[in-house]
Amino acid sequence: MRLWELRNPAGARVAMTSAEFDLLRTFCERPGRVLSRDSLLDLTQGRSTGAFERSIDVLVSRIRRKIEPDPQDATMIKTVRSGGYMFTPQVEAVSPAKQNDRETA
Amino acid sequence: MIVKLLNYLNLRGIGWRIAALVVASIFAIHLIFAASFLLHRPDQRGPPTDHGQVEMATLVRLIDAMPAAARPGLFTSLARAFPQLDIASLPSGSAYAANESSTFMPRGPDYELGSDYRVFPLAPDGDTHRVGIVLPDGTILSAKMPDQNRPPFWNGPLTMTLMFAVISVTLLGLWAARALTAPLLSFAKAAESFSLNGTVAPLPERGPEEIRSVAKALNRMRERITALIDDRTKMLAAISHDLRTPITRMRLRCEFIEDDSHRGRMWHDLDQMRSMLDSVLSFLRNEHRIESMTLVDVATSLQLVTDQFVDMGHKVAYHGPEHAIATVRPDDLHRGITNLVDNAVRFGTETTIRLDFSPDIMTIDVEDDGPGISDARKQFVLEPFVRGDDARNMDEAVGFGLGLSIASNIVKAHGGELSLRDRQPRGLIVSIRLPVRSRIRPAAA
Repeated sequence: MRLWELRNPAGARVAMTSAEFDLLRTFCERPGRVLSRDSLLDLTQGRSTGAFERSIDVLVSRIRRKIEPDPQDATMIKTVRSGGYMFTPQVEAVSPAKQNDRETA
Repeated sequence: MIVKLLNYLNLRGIGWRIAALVVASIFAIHLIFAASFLLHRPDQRGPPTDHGQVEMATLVRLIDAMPAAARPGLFTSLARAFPQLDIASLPSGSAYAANESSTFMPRGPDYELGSDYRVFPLAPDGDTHRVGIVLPDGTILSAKMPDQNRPPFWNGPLTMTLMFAVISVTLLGLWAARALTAPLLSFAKAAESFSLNGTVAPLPERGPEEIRSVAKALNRMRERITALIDDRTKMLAAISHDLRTPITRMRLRCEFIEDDSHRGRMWHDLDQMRSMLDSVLSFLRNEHRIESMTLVDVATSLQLVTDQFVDMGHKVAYHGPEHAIATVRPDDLHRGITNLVDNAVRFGTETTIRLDFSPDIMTIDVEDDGPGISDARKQFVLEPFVRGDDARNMDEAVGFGLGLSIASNIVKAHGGELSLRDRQPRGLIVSIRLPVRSRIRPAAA
C-alpha cells in the first residue's frame, strides 16, 4: 500500500523514491531553516538506511528536477553556501481528507 | 423477413434453405415469364409492334388475287389509301437479278407472306428502303419498306425479361451465398481473435441450424479453454506464491553456513529463484488486476527508473522533457519500463531512455547497445517464457523470459503498442507508443 504520493499543481502524480520523499518531507517539516547535510542525513536515516549511501546532494538535485520550475536556478530548495539547504516555500498542513497540491504524508 | 419466413416454414438446415431459395427463384422467374408473355401476346399485336408489315402483306395478297387487267386501277386506289407504302409494279426482270446476291433481307414482309412470295431488297433510294416482291405469277412489285426502324434490342420484351431474370437470379445467388458464408467468416474471425482476457463477446447463435450448432460448440469450447487456463493460472500463482515462504526460510538458514563463498552463492541462487517467482506472479497478476488510471508526470517516472538503475551502478541516461503529464497506470508503467531497462542493462553497457511527447501521443524508447535481436526472433520475444537468446541465456538465466511480455501487456492495457527496432550501429530499441489523454482528470485523489 502506498501511503504517500506527490502531486503537482495540475493534479498529476510525481514519481519519487521513498528516499527522495523522506528528504522532501524533512524539508517541508522545517521550512525556512538552513539544514546542514549532516543534520539532513540524521533526520532521514530513520527510514531506508541503505538508500542513503550516496550524498544528500544527489537526492536534492533529483528532487529539484521534479519540483522546481527551473532546476538550474533553484528557488524552492536553495543551496546555502557552506551551510546546507533551505526550503523556502510557505508550507501549510491540510487535513488528511482534503489534500492540497503539494504533498501529503 | 425472409429468415422469419424460413423459420416459419421450419426450414432450419442449410440444405433446406438452399432448396427453398432455388424453388422460390424458379417460381419467380416463371411468374415473370408468364406475365411478360401475357402482356406481349402475338394476337394482341397493335400498330406499334407490327409496323405496317401486316398491312403490306395483306395488300400484296390482294394484288395477287386481282386479275392483271384490274391491277392498274387498284394501284391508283392503293396509292391514295396507303401512300406510306408506295406500292408500284416493276417491269419484270428489272433489278431482280442484280440484287439476288444481296445478303440484306428485310425481315418481316416475307415472314408475313409465306414461301409463295419472294421478297428482296432494292437499291436504297436516299433514306427509304424499298423491297421488291415477286408474286407467284411472276409479277414484280416494289414497295417502300414499312418503318425500317425496328425497336432497339433492349426494348424487346423478351430481352428485357431475360435480362431481368438473369440479374435477379444473380443477385439472389449472391445474397444467398453471402447470407450463408457471413457466419462462417465471423467464426474464422472469432477463432483468430480468441484471447483469454474474456473481452471478446461469445459468438451469436443464430442462422441455419448447422451454423448455430457450430457457434454453440465453439462457444462451449471457448468456455472450457478459459476455465482450463484459469485453473492452470491459479495453480501456477499458488505454487509461485507458496514457494516464496520456503525460499525465505532457506535464506535465513543460509546464515548458518560457515563457508563464506558457499553462503554467498546460495544467497545468489535463492535471490534468483525469488526474482523468477516474482516475475511470474507479476505476470499473472497483470492479467487479472487492473490498476486505475491517474494523471501522472511520466517524465518523473522515467527519471525515477533512470535514477534507480544509476544507483545500482548501470549507465542509464534519460533524454526528454522535464515534465510530461499523461493519464496512465503509474505502477504498471513503472514496472514495464523497469523490465525494459532491466533487459537493456543486461545485454548492453549503455542505456538511453528517450521520451518524445506530443499532445496526443507519447513515444518512450529504451535503447541499448547490446547485440540486439534478429528480425526472425523479434516476433517471438514478446511471447511469455521466450528469451531473446535461449542458448546463451540458459546458464545465467535470471528470469523466465517474462519481462518483455509483461511490458507488452501493460502497454496494450494502456491502449498503446510496443515494438522492437534495430539501433544503428548496434543494439535494440524498444519503442512504446501510448495515448496521452491528459484531459481526463483523476477521480478524487
